Formats: sequence, structure tokens, C-alpha cells
Amino acid sequence: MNTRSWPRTWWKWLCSLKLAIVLASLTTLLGIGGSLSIPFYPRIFGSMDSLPLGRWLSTFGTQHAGMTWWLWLCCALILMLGLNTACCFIDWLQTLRARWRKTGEYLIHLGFVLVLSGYLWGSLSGFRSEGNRLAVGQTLAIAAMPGHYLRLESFEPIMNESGRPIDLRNHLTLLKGETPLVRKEVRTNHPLIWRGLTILAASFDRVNDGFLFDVAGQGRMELRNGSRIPLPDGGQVIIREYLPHAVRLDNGRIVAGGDTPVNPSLLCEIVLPGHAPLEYRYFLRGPAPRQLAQRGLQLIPRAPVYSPVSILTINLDPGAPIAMAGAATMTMGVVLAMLSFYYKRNRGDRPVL
Amino acid sequence: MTDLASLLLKSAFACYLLSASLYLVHVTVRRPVFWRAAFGLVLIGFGLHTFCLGLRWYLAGYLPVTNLFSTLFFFSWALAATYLYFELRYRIHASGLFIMLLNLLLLGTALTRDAAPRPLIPALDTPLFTLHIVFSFLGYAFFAMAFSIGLLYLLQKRLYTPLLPDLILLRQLNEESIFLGFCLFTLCMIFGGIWAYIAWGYYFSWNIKGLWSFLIWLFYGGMCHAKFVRRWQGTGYALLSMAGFGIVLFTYLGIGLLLSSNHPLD
Repeated sequence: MNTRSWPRTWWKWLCSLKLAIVLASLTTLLGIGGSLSIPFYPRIFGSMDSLPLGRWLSTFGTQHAGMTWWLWLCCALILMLGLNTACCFIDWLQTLRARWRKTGEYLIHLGFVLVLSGYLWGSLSGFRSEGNRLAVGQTLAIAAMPGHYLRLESFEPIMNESGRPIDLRNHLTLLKGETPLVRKEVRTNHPLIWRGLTILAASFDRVNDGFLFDVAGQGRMELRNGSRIPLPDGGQVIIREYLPHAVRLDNGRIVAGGDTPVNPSLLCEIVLPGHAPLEYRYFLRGPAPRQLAQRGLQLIPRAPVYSPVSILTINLDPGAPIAMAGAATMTMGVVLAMLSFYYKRNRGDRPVL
Repeated sequence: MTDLASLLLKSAFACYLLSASLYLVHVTVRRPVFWRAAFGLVLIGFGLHTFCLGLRWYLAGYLPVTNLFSTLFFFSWALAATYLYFELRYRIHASGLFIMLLNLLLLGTALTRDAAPRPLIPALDTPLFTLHIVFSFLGYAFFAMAFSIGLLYLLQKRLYTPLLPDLILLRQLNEESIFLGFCLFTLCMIFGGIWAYIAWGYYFSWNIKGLWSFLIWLFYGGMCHAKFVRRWQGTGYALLSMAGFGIVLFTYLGIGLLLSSNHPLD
């Protein structure tokens, strides 16, 4: 081979139509055969949507290489197809003046390359996290973006007449340190999207975060973390901690044993003017502490109190804006290609080689 | 479904059935009156079908294409629309018989199933879903037409009968079906991807349905290129069209009915 002509030969091969057909056919055949194993091995393939592809391949893909080899090969073939498409597009650009009527078709090529590039970037440096529980007023650190936090300002699950949830309205604030970056109402099909970060309302739950009491002389009162009860002598009782299921360890320490109200307890602090604060724990299954009765406060526990908790999905895909640009390019390409097709058909043009 | 919608659907089915019978008569007798009557019946049937679709859409408050009945119903409507497109543009007459028979099969199967629209799950309540399914089934319908024309091409190549259009026209129709099907399916994938992104936070799902849809797109994308290769023109293209529709059918019915996916058909 002439050493001067080999780059040109390689370039022609990379741009070649036949290479595109071979790669597309091989990927299709391989994908058809390999993908049939997906529904039968949920333990391997079931987590593919929960992780970016790069992370999935480096964990499940390598652990189960015998079952996932076809996927590795498909990815390699698609990358080659992307390279082939990119070269084909560049080749077309070089002869644009003569081949401008093919703009629609080549915009589809460019769109595909952009979508593929975006997906590749997102697969390698993206992050996906499901089941992030957040109660109103709480702040959550976003693991994939150090220094960024999410605060749930308000949350309301919307139910229909039969009690089925039809929407989940979250008012979220994205913060960098203490500075709010974005505020948005996040609900079904309306995520918070910010620089590749996507926050979605996935589900909701109810959490037992307090207890309802009859307070003598004051009526019914819901006590949660931070609740305050005024005392007749000018002081107050502050609820420092509510545990739905308090468990006493061997060393005497009290810890949370679960979310179900099996053995609910309150950590109370009595604050009186001129006295040191007094802290004690009130197990609701037992009698009321004498410290309260001494100060004229009678609490009768009635029922656990539940508050809704939003369950959010937090995904980071830095390639998503590129992929979306690719989708827009492809859409333009399709429209132009169809217009050009009818124009050419009306003129009697046909692609006969 | 209301009595009116049910009546419209049965009337459309009767029109299509009669039309297919007249096309069959036309194939043997070759008199213009038969294809004209058959074509008129397809037009009436399609009008009733469209009215029924509009009524169901209005009553449900969303385009009802969410279960097996409604997808069969909508696919059948897309097939009739595709047939009319080719009939009006190229006067293919009985060459579209396969499409009409497939249409009857789908609609006949739909008639035996529960037609009541189900409550829409919140994630489906978006115009992106509507665009996704409309372009999806229109793409499928063009691929079905390509299958039909591919089959006729192979028959014509063997029989050289004046009953069928000439090979050049059949090849042109096949290429047009594939090209338009690919364009519409590309739009289906784009709208589906954007919808998935706002609904689940990623635009490509590794669920088997998503993967096979991408494979369909890739396969027909390859076919759009193959028409420029002399070896694949004509017979090869016809065979590919038929193989491609096999993938489409498996993606639509096989995966939806036999395997667990995020696009269940029940």
C-alpha cells in the first residue's frame, strides 16, 4: 500500500456506508440474541436502570461476564457505529456545497452522534440514587455534588376519590452551601433539572414522627421533635426527641429500634426560669413521669401521629444536555429529510446507484 | 365504552371486511367497479374508525392506547391510514390486501376484548406519551406495509403477473415505506426518550422493550443505508423488510404479552 494513501484509505473505510450496515446488522443480531436473557436473569440485569451504564458494567458486568459478554460487544459495536457516523458526517461537511440536499439525513447522523456522546459521558460520570426520603423542613446532602443540598419546603400527596395517589407536589430548594440555586415545584413528569442534575418525585411514605396527647386544661396536642408545652409556673417542656420504638441497650443507652410505634418514647427537657434544665425520658407505655405531674402537667397519650415523607430520585447525568441537543438535531433532521424526500419524489429523483 | 363507540367500531370492522372481500374479487375479476367500491368502503370504514377513536379520546380525556384492546385498535387505525396513504398516492388497489387483512385481524381480536378505558397512571398523563405512541404505531404501520410490499415483490419476481404492480414500483413503495417508517419511529424514540427523562430521570431504559425498540430503529436505520448498495436492492431489501417486521411484531406483541417489561399489554 502506498504510504501516502493509507490515511485516505482508512478515512474512506471509516466513512463507509457498508461499515455502517455491517455494524448496525451485527449490533441488531447480537442485541436480539443477548437481550432475551434480560427477563430471565433479573438478579443480574434488574439493576441496569438504577446505575449509570459505566458503573453497572464495572460491577455487575464484570462479575457476570459470562452472561453479559454480548452487552460489552454491543457497546463496542455501537461506539464504532458512532465513530463511523461522525466520520460520515464530517465527510459530508467537506462536500456540503454539492450535497446540501442531504442536510436532513446528515442532521440525523449528527443527532445520533450527539445522543451517543451524551450517553457515553453520562454513563462514565453520572450518578443515580433512588429512595431518598425527605420530610418537610429537612435538608439532604447530594452525594454526587459535594456542597449541594436539597431542602423540602412543603410536600403534599394528591389523592383521587378512591385514595389512589395521582400526584406528589414537592416544593424543593436546591442549595449550594446556604445559597439557594433553584426553587421549583417538583411533581410527576415535572422534575427539577439543573445542569444535568434531575430530581424526581418518585413516591411517598408516612412516617410516625410524633404522638397525639390530651393535655389537661390545654386540649389535644401533637408532640414532635421541637414541640413546646407551656407550664403553669412560667416554664416550658421542650420535646428534644421522639422515638417510635425506643430500645434500651445493656449499657443503659436508649436508641431507635425502628419506625413502627412499638415502644414510643419522648426525651423531654423541663426549662424553668432560674433553674438548670432537667432532662428525662418518658416511655409512653408506662406511667407519666412524676416531674410533669409535680408541675401540674397531665399528659394522656392517645395515638401515634404520622406525617408524609417524600421519596425522591436524584440522578446526575452531565451528558443529558448534549443528548437533548442531539434529539433536537435529529428531530430537525427527520423533518427536513421528509420534506426533501417528497420534493425529490415529486421531481422523479430516486436513489438508484 | 359507550354504545355509540361500540357501534362505530363494529361498523368500521364490517366496512373493512366487505372491502377486503371486494379487493379479493377484484384480484380475480379485475373490474374497476370492484376496487372503487372496495376503496370507498375503506374510506367509510376509516372515517368511522377515526370518529370512534376521537370519541374514545374525548370520553377518556386522553388518547386511550394503554392496554391490549386499545393498542390493537390504534394499530389497526394506523394500518388503515397507511393503506389509504399508499392507495391515494400510488393506486395500489389490491396490493394492499395484506394490510387490510392484518387490519381485520387486529380489529377482530380487539372486538373480543374489554374496551373500557382504564384510569391513566400519572406518569402517562403528558402530551409526550401521546406523541410517543402515535409515532410508534404509525412507524409500525409503515413497517407492516413494507412487509406486505416485500412479500408482493418476491411473488411478482417469481410470477410476473399483471395482477401486481411492476417490480420497479414495488421496490419504490418498499423503500418509501421503510424511509417513512424509520422517520416516524425516530420521532417515537425521541419523544419516548424525553418523556422517560422527565418521568424517570434517564432517557434510555435497559428494559427489554426499550432495548428492542432501539434495535428496531438500528435495523431500519441500516436498511435506509442498504438501499444504496446494489446487492441489497430489490430481493435483498424485500427479505430485510419481512425480517424487520418480524422484529416489530415480537417487540409489540411478543415482549408485551410473553415477557415482563415496562410496556405490559394486558
